[in-house]
Amino acid sequence: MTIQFKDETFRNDYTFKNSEWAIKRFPFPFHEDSYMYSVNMEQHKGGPEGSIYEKRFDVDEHYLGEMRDRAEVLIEDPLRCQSLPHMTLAGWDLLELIMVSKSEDYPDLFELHRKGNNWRWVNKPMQIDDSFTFLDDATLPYGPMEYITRQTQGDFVILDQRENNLWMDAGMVTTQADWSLDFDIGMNFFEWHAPVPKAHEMGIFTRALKFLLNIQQGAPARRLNWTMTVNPLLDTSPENYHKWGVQKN
Amino acid sequence: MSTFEFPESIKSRPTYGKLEKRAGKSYLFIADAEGAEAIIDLASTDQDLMTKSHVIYIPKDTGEKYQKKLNDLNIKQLYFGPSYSAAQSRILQTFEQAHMGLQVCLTGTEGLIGQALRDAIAAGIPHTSIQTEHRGSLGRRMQCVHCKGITEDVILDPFVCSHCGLNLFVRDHYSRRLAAFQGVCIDAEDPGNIPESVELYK
Amino acid sequence: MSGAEKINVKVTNIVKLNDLVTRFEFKRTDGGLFPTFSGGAHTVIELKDGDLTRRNPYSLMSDPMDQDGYSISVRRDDEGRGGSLFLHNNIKIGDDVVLSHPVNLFSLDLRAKKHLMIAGGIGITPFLAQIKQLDRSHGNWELHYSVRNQSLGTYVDDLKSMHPNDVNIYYDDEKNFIDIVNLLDGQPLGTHLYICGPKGMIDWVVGEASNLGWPVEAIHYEEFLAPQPGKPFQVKLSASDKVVNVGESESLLEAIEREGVDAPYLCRGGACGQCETSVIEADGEFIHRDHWLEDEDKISGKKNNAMCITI
Repeated sequence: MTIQFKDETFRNDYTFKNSEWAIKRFPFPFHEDSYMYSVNMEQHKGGPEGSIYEKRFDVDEHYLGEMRDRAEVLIEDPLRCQSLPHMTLAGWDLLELIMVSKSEDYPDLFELHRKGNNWRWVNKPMQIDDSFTFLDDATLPYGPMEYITRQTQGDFVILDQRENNLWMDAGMVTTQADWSLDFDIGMNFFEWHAPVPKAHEMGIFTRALKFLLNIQQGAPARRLNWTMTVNPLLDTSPENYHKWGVQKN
Repeated sequence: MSTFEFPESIKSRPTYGKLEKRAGKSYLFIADAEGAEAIIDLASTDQDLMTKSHVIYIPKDTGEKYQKKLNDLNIKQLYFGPSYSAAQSRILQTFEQAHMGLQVCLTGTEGLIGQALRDAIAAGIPHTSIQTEHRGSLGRRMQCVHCKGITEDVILDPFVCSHCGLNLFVRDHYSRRLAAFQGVCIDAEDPGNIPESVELYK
Repeated sequence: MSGAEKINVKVTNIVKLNDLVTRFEFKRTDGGLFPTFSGGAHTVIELKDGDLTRRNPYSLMSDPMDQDGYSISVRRDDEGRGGSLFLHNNIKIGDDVVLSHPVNLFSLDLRAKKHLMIAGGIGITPFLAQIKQLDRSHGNWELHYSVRNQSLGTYVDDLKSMHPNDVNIYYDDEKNFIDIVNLLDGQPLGTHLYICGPKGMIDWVVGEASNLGWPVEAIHYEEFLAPQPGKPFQVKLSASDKVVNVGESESLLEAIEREGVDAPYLCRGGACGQCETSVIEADGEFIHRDHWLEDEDKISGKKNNAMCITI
């Protein structure tokens, strides 16, 4: 089916709305009467046709609206996207992963043409057609991570694996549930999770880290996580908390 | 003695140790205020150590209190500076010219330790190999998460951001990269409702 | 799931480099692109030797950006359990074998201001890939490579001609040894040290670096533990109640795989901890050869170490 991209807002007048199709495929989480986070990882090897699990990086009707909201957040606060100097190569790695996955999974929306390091990327919904040299930053309008995540739904963090730990050394974070990339960038797995109540005593992070450290190339995993807000505000950042906090009341 | 027993806190809150001698050809000490005590204590356990040490010391409001004692220690290279920011170019050059094997020891307030640690990490020293010992004031460097401005020597909670004027509460969540704890708007959900300030750890 | 994901490949070239070392080159049988990897990664090659399935780890020496082919260089070990011998004697161009996706337990720390590399013998292989990776981004590296003699100097000519200023070769037979103390002393702050070679060399270099005050976080090394042959023994698996006889020259992991158990593994060299298992009861003595367990676990005897090197 062709996706009908919506023209909607996630702030001010909040015109965001889910179609029947979007509601039917939403992974409604509450199979119990109360909710507690868990180490609910599983292999990411596709899923039923049309489901959110089917494609490697899912694209839905909110794609254009979300990317426009992201661009607005970044104009207001460029510090929402940062990459420590040693992470540029990882950014290219992410760019390659997303471009290859999306061009294969959604051939009518995305195209990737490669000749050695000369690449051409076409993003039809966003009307982008860019030719560039892989690994050469000067040939893209932004760094590789920023470039591709401005075209991909969801927040991203790239973790560097060192000393048996994971370090949050790059990220594009514009729809977060109240944590600051600018503050947390450079921290390790336990440090950036430090403020999460109760979870440390539950041993959740030790188990989760062990699992993550053993994920292998070619064998991706996934888990679902939820947040709740009153209005469909994507930018629930601590940076702007003094503006949106009153909505909690 | 100006030591303090920090209560257990979240995993991102820095913890401090006690300076000790380690293998290495030379030492760099960066200290402020009562941090001098830790250097003097360490020197008393090993006479040789100071002869291969560079000490950068910022007295802050302790004035002349430790200067004579430090002068008497036979330190190879001893510098007194008025502030971290005044001493910073000297510190950065020291790192620039240093060799692997340099032992770095930081002592004094959390603000001094944090800033020196931040600069040492940028120079390529793994943070877990740097020795730290806290002495003296419990005041913190706070970053306002809203305007990103840093307010120094914060001892009250809540406090007013010295840049944008918002009322912020003090969190234990700490960033090595920024060398600061996080301050968040305290009256976002109920503007104007600001509790009475209390002193940290009282 | 066991190990990293598998890739079906064909042997496309075999180049004998000297008496001991041969290079094997592979292409995918499906004609697709190989995954890119980072320098220092290894692959586990799966070979069918009659009823026996051999799985041996080798560093990928090819350019990490080259998705058309993978290469490894293998040193023939006449005293070992036969994996490298099998490769040298039985594998021919055109053969079908299986490679695992790359796994990296010896990666570069890209924050380093300088990468100082120390290689001994066949330990040169991971550095070949790392050097290609660093050259692409104009990284700062320096190699010190110790070999037995000129004829066994694998890749010495290539390295010296491509990087005359950054490669230093030491010949054992000319009594030419790395002056490690002087080399380490005076390296700029922010240098990271990488060592790959025999255990003795690693221990010696790590020891000197520690004496000079180098922080452990700046020292990286890789040594694949080739399991030494041992006495045969019997094991009972508590979950399935299976009894397995482990022969003289097979590891516990290999024995239980032979019996149809799909056990988790990764490096097959005692380094990653994936195949660690608990010992409920034991009759006999453990000699620990792994890099994974903490010392207290080794003493208590409660955890068996990596099954991949339990003989």
